[in-house]
Formats: sequence, structure tokens, C-alpha cells
Amino acid sequence: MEKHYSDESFLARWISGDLTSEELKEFKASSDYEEFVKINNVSQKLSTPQFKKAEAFKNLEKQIDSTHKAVSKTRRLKPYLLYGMAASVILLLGYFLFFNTTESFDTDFGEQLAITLPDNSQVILNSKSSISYDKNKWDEGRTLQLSGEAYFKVEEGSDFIVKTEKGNVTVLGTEFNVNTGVNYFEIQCFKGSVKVVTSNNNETILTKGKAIRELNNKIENWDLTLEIPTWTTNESTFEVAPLEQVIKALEHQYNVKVDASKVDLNQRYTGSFTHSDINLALQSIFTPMEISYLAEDNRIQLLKK
Amino acid sequence: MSNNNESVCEPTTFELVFSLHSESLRNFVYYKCGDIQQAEDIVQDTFIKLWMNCAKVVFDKAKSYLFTVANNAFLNDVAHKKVVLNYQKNITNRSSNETPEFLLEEQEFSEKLKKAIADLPVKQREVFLLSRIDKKKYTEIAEIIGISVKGVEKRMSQALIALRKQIGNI
Repeated sequence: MEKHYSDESFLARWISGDLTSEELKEFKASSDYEEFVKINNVSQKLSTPQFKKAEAFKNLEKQIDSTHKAVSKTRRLKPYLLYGMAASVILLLGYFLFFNTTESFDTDFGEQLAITLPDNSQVILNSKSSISYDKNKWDEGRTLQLSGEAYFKVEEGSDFIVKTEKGNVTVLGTEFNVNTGVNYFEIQCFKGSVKVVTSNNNETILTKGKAIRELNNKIENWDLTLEIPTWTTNESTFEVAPLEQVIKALEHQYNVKVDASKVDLNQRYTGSFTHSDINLALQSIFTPMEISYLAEDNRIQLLKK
Repeated sequence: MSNNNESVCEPTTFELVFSLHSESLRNFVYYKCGDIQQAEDIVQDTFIKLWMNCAKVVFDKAKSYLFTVANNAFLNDVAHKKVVLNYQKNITNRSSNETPEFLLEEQEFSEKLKKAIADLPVKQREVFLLSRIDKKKYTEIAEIIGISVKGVEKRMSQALIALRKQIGNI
């Protein structure tokens, strides 16, 4: 065949961009060049079946835990640390500990947790969120602390109060979603009505199908189109939400780090992303926003078109 | 993260090793055997083996340990199937002026290419796919497979020529 085949590494060097300019020029003039370009272009768009890394790791841990005892020795490290912390808390608080009846729950990246409260009210905790409440004082007043995002189905009864750093939500019996973050406070009411008091004592009553958000001290209202928050059904949905919140939700769901320094975080996003496939999720957020991105391991870099 | 002599017995380090290497390890085995289930089983066994031997393997050595163990596991497994790859349409460049005809043609071409790749000898296929799909550099492929960079370049070139011939004949 042609001359360039005689050099064993010629095509490999072409792929890696290591041909000299003369070699490249000559190659480009050859009849095969177009065909090789096509092979190279299309082969880069091929992919293997999806690899569910988190799932694979869970299976691996299960396998290791069940069959290999060696593991439990080192695995205990974290609980020991917790015991240590608990012990020091006991030492510090001493006597008071007997009255410390705080119950708390928290979730990690990509986790969700369904919690039943003493009065049978339900809480579904989204990823990277936590709630806590005092068991003994529950009968006196239904009050709990929330950071992050949670969906509440409250049994009828006395005032049910959700305290957050950004404000409080008070209800009787209803279903609603609360999402908090730095400079962000969002409440969606799916049933009944809720009273929202923001940190600067702004009071609002939300009725069924209404939602409110406070972003950098500005208040916005909108109508809900959904019956329940979709994040409880393996999908996160947003309505004219600031991109910053969408990215945060993505990071919490998939345990990734998004570098968004090159894009405007205040632009608004309406749409949803799945919790089961990060590539699909990335596409459904960033394609309509006309933002291209580079994903590498757990880092995602956003590039403006 | 370079020059890391941390023991992989530490659960967080072990998890880091998993998150760094599990996918390309899975693909590497898949390119050889063409059976995704078998590939994922081998990955799991390999990591279990790494865990059992964690005291002997530091972070920096974990990668080559994993690929060596997985390669041996593959050699012990006899059954081979054909590699089946997915073809992704280019999402980021959708706005570019690609006509439907162009896309259709590219689709057809990709079918031919996938078939040709499946017919490549294993040694050429693993090099070609590690380079084109996993975007690994020749030096890294050389390290994974345990041959010289020159050897990788040779296999890469052979793979391209074989694909070109195969596609030309269809």
C-alpha cells in the first residue's frame, strides 16, 4: 500500500498529534486520509454500556463484608470515632445528657431517607440534608430543625413548625416541601396551607399549589404544576429556579463537584433531571441552557458556548 | 495525589482507588472479553483481592496491581463474546449545521465501524478502544497492558489499518 504504512507507528502518531508538519501534509494529500479521519471521529463517539459506579461499589462492600472478615477490623474505624465523640460529649455534658433526647437524621450524597415522626407525620429527606427534634418535647409542640431539603406530610393537630436558618414554616395538617441553602429558602405547598416566616420577619401564607422562594433577600412567588415534589420519585424538577440551586441539587445527588466559574449562576432553569444516570442528568440540565461541559471523574467543568 | 504511599487498607483510600480506576478497569476487561457481566464480575473479584492484600499495596501501586490481577483473571476465564459498543450522537455540538443526511450517513458508518472493531484481534482492540473511548495516552495504555509505548503505537496503527480495510470491503 502507501508509503506511510511502512512506518509502524505512523498512524498512531497521527492520532496522538505527533506527526511532523511535512508528514501530516503528505498524509492529508493521500487518498486514505478522509477515511481515517472518519474512523477516528466516529470511534470517539462510541461508548461502553453504562457503568453504575456507586452501585458497583455498594455490591463490592457487601461482598467484602459478608465473606471476608478481615474487613470488619478496619471498617470499625468510623464507628470508633463516633463512640469517641459520643464519649466526649458524655464527659462534657455529664448529667445533662440524660435529658438530651434529641433525635436527628441526616443523609449523604445521593441518599434519601423516609422518617416517621412520633405523631405519624412523614418526612422524606433529600440528599445532603438533616433534621432533628426533641423527642420529649414533641408532645408540647411539634417543632423540628431542618437544613437542606425535605418533603413533609403532616398529620392534623397542633402547630407543626419547621425551623431553618433562613426562616420558619408553620402549619396545621398539610403536605409541603422546604429547601434551604446559603441565601436560599424555598417552600412549596402541595396540600392545605402553610405560614412562612423568613429571617427578616416577612410573613406569608401559602395555600395549596403555591410556592415561594427567597433568594438573596428577594421574594418570588409562583404556582406549582405538580402534585408532589418529583425528587421523591427519583427525579428533581425545577421551575424558573436559579441555576445555582440546580447545580447544588446535582452535586448533592451525584457527589460531584461542578466548576461553574465560567457561567452566570443567576440564569433560570425550568426542567428536571433524573437521579439514576448522571450523563442523562447533565444533558437535561445543560443542553437547554446552551452550556457545554466537560465531565471527568467527579469533576464537571462548565464552559460557556 | 502523586507519590502517595498511603495504604489502601484505609476505607476512604480504598474507595478513592475504586472511584478512580473501576470504570476503566471494567472497560479494559470488556474490550478483551466482550461480556459486560463477566467484566463487572472480574472487577469485583479484583477489588476484593486488592482489599485482602491491602497491607501490601500502597496507593501508587494499586492501579498496576488491579490491571495485572484483572488481566490474569481474564486469561483464566475462557469464554469470549463480541464487543458491543453504543454510539452516541454528539450532544454538545447539536447546534452545528449537521444535516439529517449527514447524521444518517454517520449512523451507518458507525454500524460498520462497530462491527469492524468487534472483529479486531484482542491486542489491537484493547489498545484502540482504551485510546479512543477511555481517552488514555499511549504511555498509560503501555503501563496498563505491560508493553512498551512503541508496542502500543504499533498495535494502534495496525488496528487503524485493519479497520480501514474492513470498512472498505463492506
